[in-house]
Amino acid sequence: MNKEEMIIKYLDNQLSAGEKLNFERQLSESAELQSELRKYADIHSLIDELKEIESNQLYFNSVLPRFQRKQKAQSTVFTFKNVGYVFSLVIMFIVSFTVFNLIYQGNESANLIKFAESLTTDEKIELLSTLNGVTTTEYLNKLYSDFYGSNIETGLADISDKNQIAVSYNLDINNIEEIVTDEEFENIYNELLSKSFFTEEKL
Amino acid sequence: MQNNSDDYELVRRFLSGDEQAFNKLAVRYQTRIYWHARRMVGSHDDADEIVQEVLMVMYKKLSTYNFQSSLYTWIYRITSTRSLNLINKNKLKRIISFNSDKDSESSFNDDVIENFEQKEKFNKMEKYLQKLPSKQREVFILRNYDDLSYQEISEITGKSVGALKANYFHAFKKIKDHMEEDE
Repeated sequence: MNKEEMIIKYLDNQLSAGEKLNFERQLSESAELQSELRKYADIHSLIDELKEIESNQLYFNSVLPRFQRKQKAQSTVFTFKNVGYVFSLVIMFIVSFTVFNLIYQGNESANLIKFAESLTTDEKIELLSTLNGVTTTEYLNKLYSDFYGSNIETGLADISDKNQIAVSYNLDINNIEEIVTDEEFENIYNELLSKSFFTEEKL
Repeated sequence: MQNNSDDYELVRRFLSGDEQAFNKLAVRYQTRIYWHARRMVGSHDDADEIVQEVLMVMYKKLSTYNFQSSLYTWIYRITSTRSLNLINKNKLKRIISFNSDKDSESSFNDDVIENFEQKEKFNKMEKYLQKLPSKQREVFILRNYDDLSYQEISEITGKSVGALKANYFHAFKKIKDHMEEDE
């Protein structure tokens, strides 16, 4: 143990009884050691003086009230923060839901168009027949009767009969000008002009 | 030195919802927290900040206090840790802002120390303390100013008693050398 270590341990009460006796004996014999010890002891004395400081009580009286204000403010901020978080979550949820719906609906429309394009005419009619629980025939019947005032089935039957007549007479409607004479054409034309197909209320 | 059973009683009362018990603890320890922090960081403003932080930690974390060690040891541990953190933070600030130690030295013109003679001595000693490495300063302060045993300091710092004694020796020697240089 060197001289300084001995001094510091001596002042710090860290020497054993034997070491202390030995140090004090050396001390009594060495002026240099005494001088060195005094330097360290002076530091010790200075520290002792500074242990109890005459301090401004106004400052220490302000510590707790300031802490309480800070603590109160923090809990208020904490409450506001929590309310803020909940509010933000609700807003985020609504926004996400809306955006998701828009994207989803957009996709759905795109998908529907794609799907419709992929269908044949028959498949489209088949699909339409299931719309709104009304069959295509019923739907068309309604439209037809609203427009012409008669049942489409009857109309279709009429057309069918006329077709049959045409077939039985071996008439080809596309080559009618070859069969019908100019005079007959004139008559048919005049007859058609005089015939009122659509009444005003039907239109 | 400290009345442990009284401290424990106040902690229990506070944990049962008695805010007044916490206030008593705060008033009981605020001076020691302040002076320990002040000697560690060397500035009134920083020490004041640490006092507020330590009280806040006490308020929030007393429920985790296990009653195994003394309350003052627990409080010193918080204060020391906060002080060391602030010292490191300030060091980093100095590096980033390229300021020298001198520029960032605290002003000693605060009004906490009322006695003029004591203030001069305090400032002189504070200057020497600030020249020590923070870990040596911590041991030196806890041992000399707070009169804690090496065992208690070991509980606070988590270092072995042997390492603490070595730190204390180096700190004491450095302070003596600095004082000699100044004379």
